[in-house]
Amino acid sequence: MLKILVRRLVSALFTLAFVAVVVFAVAEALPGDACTAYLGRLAQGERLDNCRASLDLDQPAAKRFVHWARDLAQGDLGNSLKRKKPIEEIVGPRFRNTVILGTVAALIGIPLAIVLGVFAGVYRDKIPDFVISGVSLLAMTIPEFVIATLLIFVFAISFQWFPAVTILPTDAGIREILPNIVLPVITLAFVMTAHILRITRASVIDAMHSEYVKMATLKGVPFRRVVFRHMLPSALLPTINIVALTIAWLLSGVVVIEKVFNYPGLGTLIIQSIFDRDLPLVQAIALMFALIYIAVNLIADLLVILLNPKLRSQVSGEGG
Amino acid sequence: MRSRFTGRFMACLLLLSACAGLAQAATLRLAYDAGFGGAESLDPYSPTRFFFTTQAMYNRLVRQEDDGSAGPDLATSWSVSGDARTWTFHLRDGVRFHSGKLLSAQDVVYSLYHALDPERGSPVRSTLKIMDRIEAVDRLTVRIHLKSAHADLPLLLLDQRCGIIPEGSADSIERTGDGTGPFRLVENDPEGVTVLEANPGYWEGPPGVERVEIVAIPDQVAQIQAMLAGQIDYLPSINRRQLKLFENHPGYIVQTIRTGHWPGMVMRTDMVPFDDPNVRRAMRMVVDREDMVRLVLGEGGGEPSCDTPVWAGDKYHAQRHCPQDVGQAKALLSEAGYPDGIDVDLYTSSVDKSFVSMAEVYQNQAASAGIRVKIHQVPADGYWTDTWMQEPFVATRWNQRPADQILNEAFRSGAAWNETYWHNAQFDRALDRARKEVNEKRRRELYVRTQQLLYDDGGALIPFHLNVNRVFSSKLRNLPPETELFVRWQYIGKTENEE
Amino acid sequence: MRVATQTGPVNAGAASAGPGRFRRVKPVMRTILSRPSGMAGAVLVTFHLLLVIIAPVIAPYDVTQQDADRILEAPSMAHWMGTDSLGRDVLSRTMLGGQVSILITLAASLIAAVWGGAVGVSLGLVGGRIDEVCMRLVDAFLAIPGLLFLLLIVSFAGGGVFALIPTLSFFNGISVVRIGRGAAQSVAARDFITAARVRGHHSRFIIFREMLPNLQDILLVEWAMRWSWMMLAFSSLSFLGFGASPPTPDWGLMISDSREFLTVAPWAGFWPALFLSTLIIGINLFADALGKALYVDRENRAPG
Repeated sequence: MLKILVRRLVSALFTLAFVAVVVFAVAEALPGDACTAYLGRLAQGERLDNCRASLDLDQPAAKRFVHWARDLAQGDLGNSLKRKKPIEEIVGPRFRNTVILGTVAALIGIPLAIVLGVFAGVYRDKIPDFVISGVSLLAMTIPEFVIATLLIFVFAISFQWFPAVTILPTDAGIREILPNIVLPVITLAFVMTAHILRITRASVIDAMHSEYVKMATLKGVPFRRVVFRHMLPSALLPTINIVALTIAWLLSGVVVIEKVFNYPGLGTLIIQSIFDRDLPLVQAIALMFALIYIAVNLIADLLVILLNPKLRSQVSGEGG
Repeated sequence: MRSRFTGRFMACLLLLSACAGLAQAATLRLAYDAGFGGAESLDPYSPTRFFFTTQAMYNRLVRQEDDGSAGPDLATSWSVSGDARTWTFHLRDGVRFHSGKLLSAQDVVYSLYHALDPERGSPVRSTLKIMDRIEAVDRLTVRIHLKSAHADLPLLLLDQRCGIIPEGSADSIERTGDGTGPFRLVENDPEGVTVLEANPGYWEGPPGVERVEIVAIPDQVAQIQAMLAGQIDYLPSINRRQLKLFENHPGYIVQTIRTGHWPGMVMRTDMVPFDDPNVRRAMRMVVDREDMVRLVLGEGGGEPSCDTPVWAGDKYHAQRHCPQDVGQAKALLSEAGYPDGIDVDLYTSSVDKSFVSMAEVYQNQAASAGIRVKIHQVPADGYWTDTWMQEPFVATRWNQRPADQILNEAFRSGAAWNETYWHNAQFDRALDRARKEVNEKRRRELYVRTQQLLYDDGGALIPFHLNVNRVFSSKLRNLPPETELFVRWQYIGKTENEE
Repeated sequence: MRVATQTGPVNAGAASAGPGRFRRVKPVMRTILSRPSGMAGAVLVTFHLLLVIIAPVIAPYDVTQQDADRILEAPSMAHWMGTDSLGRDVLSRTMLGGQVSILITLAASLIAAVWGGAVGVSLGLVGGRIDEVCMRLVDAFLAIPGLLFLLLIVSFAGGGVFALIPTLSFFNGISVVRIGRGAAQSVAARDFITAARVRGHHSRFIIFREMLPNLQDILLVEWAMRWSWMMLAFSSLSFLGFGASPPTPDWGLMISDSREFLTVAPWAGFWPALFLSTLIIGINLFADALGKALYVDRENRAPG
């Protein structure tokens, strides 16, 4: 078990390093450099030279990468061009806010999705299934910004029940944040629920057709008992990894939701830093998103190992 | 703000119907776009000064009067020597900084030297560089010696950055915001919610509201929605189209304010074909400026300008009419050797929203005189390095500046941003003389003359100055439609919902 | 309903018999259209594809023509869906608003399915060390936030929206590699392949005659799904200001522009939102039905 854990961690680190290389390479391949991009009208003469010197842009790329990677390994992300502050200071609270938004949405979305998914799966092709599947199809296909805009229109502007945009001090505590993010959480949870629900439903349907469920039914075990004792554990366990992938995928889409609600997270920060042409900051945020992705998947891996007695003793798992 | 929605939310849960108008202590909430992304500094001289807070926390020596001239603020009166090189300012007695310190001449001397410090890189430094020596004559008298004559020094000190800070505060002021103004700092949080409170000892009397909250909302649409949802009271700028949302609505007041900002199209006077003054005149003459305002900005979106960078709110603005004259333009062109019309390339970009539509309208209007304009739209990135001041005919934009400043920065021979590469000795001489001229009437004549020279010979096509629209809650009182840069926050009051 | 065979990703019995790939089109379409949801999906997709072709001809107004006197006008006889904030005709713009996004996402999803499928299937068949290394790379690439790269490339590299095609197809193709590989592995392990081997067929024969028809089905469904996700992604990009650029009519952009005027002119945003959503719903329904008709399971996996 410990061996699997170490392997997973090592491969996570490997992935992170890989993302760092790619991010750096892409930033390097883009036309212009951080200084011409950032300075715009002022990118001339001394000012440009100073900027380049301050970022070591006069050095060869390989050397700069080594420097950047070394600082990165020590947890130093460098300085933002525009904000003239260490990037950790800027990204820290934003990272936390995005994680809060995602976590709250997941805490609502996952249980809801499992309940509804099981319900729809068990009553497959009956009315509850049609309603649940139909709504979830809508949630998956209507763009988030449309849902978000509608929510703002109805609940913030017409009824004025909830704030339309998030107005928060940077150091706001979670108790202060929660009442301010009702609408963004609903939007994200809605989409998240729909995706996970579909996975759960399909998995439940598979399990319903499995041999042992059939056997149990034949043996005369009560239906409810079959569902809760036999079917659910075996149906849900294999979905953990897929659910994690889905959540990670949705989190990169949080950019849109954050933008609509003016939420001070990584998503709004990335848009601003791209508009500002603040490449060092963009690189750092890309790494943060990769980190979230890796962490979510790692948590899922650990959960699977913990919950599955068979895997706990078995060593190797497949890479894919 | 911290407790507002928590409170409102709880109240909603308890009593769904009563949450519309919970009374609060009078708090003014403004949205701003967090344009410096958290690098906002409370030092009013900083290149990244936190605009709304510095406006509310500091006083200048002078303040802008409605006619555009400088009136008393921290200075109650001033005088100038006959050669316009020595200025003496008398300060208001009994004014205190937020920290309690009494304002003295030393603070003013310190503030102005702070502005001149090249290390600080204040944008106002280039304007104030003509100051040679600043001294405190006594506790309440400051004398400024200039390197060269300038008869309008108070106008330069009107710059919104020239707030007075306490002596010795250069390194701490960006965090403390210790000014003499109507509001003092409670919490500085430029990317979240910055909180100011009324300065009870303010020398004009206590301000009209108890708190000011400056809220960072970078996204324009989010600002609008916050306004519609009642989360903020004041939006400094909305576009013409957004007016529709707030016009004829009892909850909001909309104001249109003239400004000195302008976009334009500039020709390099050192390059063919624009080295011929007749071509330049013809190019400018074909413009129907009223029509261009309507098409580019919408009705009332701007004030037509006759190629003068000095805006109508400036006391040195030269009034004139410049109707479209296609016949004259054609005549000038054939005189210049283009009897069959002329082909020109106009470079523009999306760096400014109005550039492209301005270029298209110009293309349309110029065609009538046989000027065939080919529009090149280049990427926004690198526009200011690779295109502007490089290509012979490009779109440009400038923010509002006082007459003397814009004429010197953009049109004097050899100025770094002389984008038309224009050299006119008469113009330069007139500018020099205007600065020395102590008699205000004659000074005005000189500035008007410089604008006449620009109109006759210059390479800048300046079709209009922009208007801005602002919207605020009808709960706010005493917000007259002055210029956008000089709102007097201390007078604004707010009526809270009684319910 | 007796589709109890949905468990595996592939049902061998479905297709292996037919050598001609087009002979199957008719029965598959019939199966799709026999379900109400499949029917609805097919109708919606067809409607939108037709619109891309005929909208330029039948649109009543020039989509870029502004009218300062008719800003945000309510629907009328002259403008059936009203006008937007620049006085442009919402009906015309909505009709043409899918053009750019549909073309780009169709192209990008096809490229993604083809390259991802080819690489994935090859890896699945080759196996061994190369496969292992490549899959490690694929896993690592999946950790890269694709949306972010789209934003970066659009805003820095220039070249307009068509610069999106390579990026979109690259990142989506990465996910397809996994699907293709898994499918190839499971098909290779199926009885009928083993049977073919035993019969002594050439491996080339096995790949082209026996395996490809099956893999084709999987990749076809995968492509349809990718297409719908790409439509979502593209509209998000446009919405954020990184996709189609004004004055091009584009649904995402139109919704974004109309958002602030929702209180006074809901029509300017409603119609593009409706069109965009119906297309994506249509693709999804169609992909679902296609998957069921081809016995390809598409529900039990993650997007992205």
